[in-house]
Amino acid sequence: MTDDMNCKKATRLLLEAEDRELSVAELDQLDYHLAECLCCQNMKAQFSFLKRALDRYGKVGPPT
Amino acid sequence: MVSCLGGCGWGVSARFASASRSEFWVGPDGFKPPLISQFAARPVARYSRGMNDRAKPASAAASPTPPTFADVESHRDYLIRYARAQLRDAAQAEEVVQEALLAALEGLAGFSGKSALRTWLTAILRFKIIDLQRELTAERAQRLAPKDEIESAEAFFDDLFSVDGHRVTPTEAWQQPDKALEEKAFFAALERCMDRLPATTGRVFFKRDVLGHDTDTICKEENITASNCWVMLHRARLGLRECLNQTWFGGERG
Repeated sequence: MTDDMNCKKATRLLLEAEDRELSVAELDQLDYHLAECLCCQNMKAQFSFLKRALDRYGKVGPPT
Repeated sequence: MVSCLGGCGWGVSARFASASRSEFWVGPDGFKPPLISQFAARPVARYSRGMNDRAKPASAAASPTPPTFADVESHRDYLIRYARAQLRDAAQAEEVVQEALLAALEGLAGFSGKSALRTWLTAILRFKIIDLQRELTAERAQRLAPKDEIESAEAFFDDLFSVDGHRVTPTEAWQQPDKALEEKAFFAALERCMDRLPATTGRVFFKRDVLGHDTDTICKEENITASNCWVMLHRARLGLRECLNQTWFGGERG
């Protein structure tokens, strides 16, 4: 099962996770992949950083 | 309600409301001065009687009496039929006739009486219809554009990965990203990156990730399918990541 997972699919899931709840199976696959892939760990951290940055940009605006 | 010569600033609806019971229509504020004095000098009731040129189209030139609001209104049904035949959409027809009648009333002073009132009104309506059709064509053309954006968005995503699904360029960690949130220049870079996104993609992304609107609403507003909405959002987030990686976090290394 998890053999099917690769960086491309993991990235897709990371992106989709922002708009929908991932299934348990998807989360398992993603976690399994993340555990062994530094690239995707970085990607995940960066998406969550972007989310914070954009949220702040929309709500508070840039620092003056 | 009757005397508006002192400048009571008629709104559109007020004007039309009075049109339906317009025995006492005097003339909106802002009318050409000579007309105003004409209106003011004559008994109001005189303009209420049917100057309907359907009955006597040729005599308009002979009589200098300007057409009244009621005269103009009396052609509404005909104009709506005309517009419907052209546009094949009842609501659009109503709307465009309303606009044409407003324009006609504003420009009533320009009606020379050489042609029949109906002919003059139809000419105005035709221009309004052409304008509307142009707008509709432009809208339709715009709606096609997202199709290209979807294709290029999918290509953008594919290009980041090799055939076996690995990153073409490894994703390196960003150093102390949270410090960037305290820097004004970082947000300027963020804005520049957002500006680089394709038009519709940028709009969808902004509404979703900056304003926090819900995806269904955005899709409806932009008239795109949910799956296309997602493709655009993914493209935007990935694009923004790539862009900031290059312009702020020092580029891909390794």
